[in-house]
Amino acid sequence: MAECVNSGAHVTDRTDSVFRFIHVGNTNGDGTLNSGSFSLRRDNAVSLGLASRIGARFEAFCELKPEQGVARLSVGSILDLTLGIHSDPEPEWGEFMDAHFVLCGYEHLSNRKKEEIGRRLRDIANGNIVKHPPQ
Amino acid sequence: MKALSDLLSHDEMKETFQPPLVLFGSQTFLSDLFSEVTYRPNVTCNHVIDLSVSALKILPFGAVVGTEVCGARFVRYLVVSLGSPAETGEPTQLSPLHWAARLRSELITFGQMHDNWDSEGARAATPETVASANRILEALIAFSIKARLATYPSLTLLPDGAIRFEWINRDRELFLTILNNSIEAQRWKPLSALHSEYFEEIQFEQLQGEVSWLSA
Repeated sequence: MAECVNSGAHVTDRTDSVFRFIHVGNTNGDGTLNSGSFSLRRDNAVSLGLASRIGARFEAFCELKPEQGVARLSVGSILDLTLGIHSDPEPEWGEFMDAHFVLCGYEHLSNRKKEEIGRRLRDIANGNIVKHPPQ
Repeated sequence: MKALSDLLSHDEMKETFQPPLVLFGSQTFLSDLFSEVTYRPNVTCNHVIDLSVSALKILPFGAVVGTEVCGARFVRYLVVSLGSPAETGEPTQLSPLHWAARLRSELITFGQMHDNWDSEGARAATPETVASANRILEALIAFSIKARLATYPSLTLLPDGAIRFEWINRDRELFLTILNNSIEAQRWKPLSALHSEYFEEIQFEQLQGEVSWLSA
């Protein structure tokens, strides 16, 4: 869930960045992302990979979900939206288990605000698509 | 479901289906679309439709189908793609029928996706949600033509199983989010705005107002 309180370690280094897997169903015909990539409506956990913990193993990281694309967002841009990023080790990520983080800090927001933030995250990510999902 | 011919005048229909057009589609679809035509097995089914006459003349078979009848059929069979007869065979501009065909195809795909389709626990769209989205798509096609919008929406499946139309036109953006029978409309202007200027649950009958706002 999206609770920021009483949860794992938070990311505060604004110069760091996170990777977000992009499902092809959340892309447009021209390859750009749509807001489905960052939907917060259900207070679902939005998985992120912390770049500083992935380091030079980016290609291997992409292989976690080879059928998906990857976008990169700066931590600073997320914190500017009054969101948080906290650690949430994911065993399914194997060697990248400890690189798994989730967005937090939006659970108290109205649906209207959640959509506004999701849309802004979409726009930020659209400027930083590292790998397009295979069509 | 309303047919395009219920929503557009005969002149608007002719304007929309600018000649000349070429139909691309499987023989099954085309024979269903134009039952007047006797199709020969193993014959390529690309047809030029001549709109310079009051009815649609399908070449090379020579069958004639009334424009209003044809328009209504297009709405039912938007999986058929319409394009200009350019050398490449590729359309030079995305017509409403082009993007509608693309979105119709995406909706079919969304309807086939199961729970956890994103491997992050997302829910599948219910048949009711997909049916509502299809109904709304048909209306958006007609309203888009009427408003002469040069842009078209994109579709996305959300983790809660909702389906969303995202539509940017000039300095405005509209979200139409469908979950079962409910429709949420959210508007932004200008595009750089973080905060939306409108967020309401609307009725189907209010869709045209949303498209009008987008085209203003």
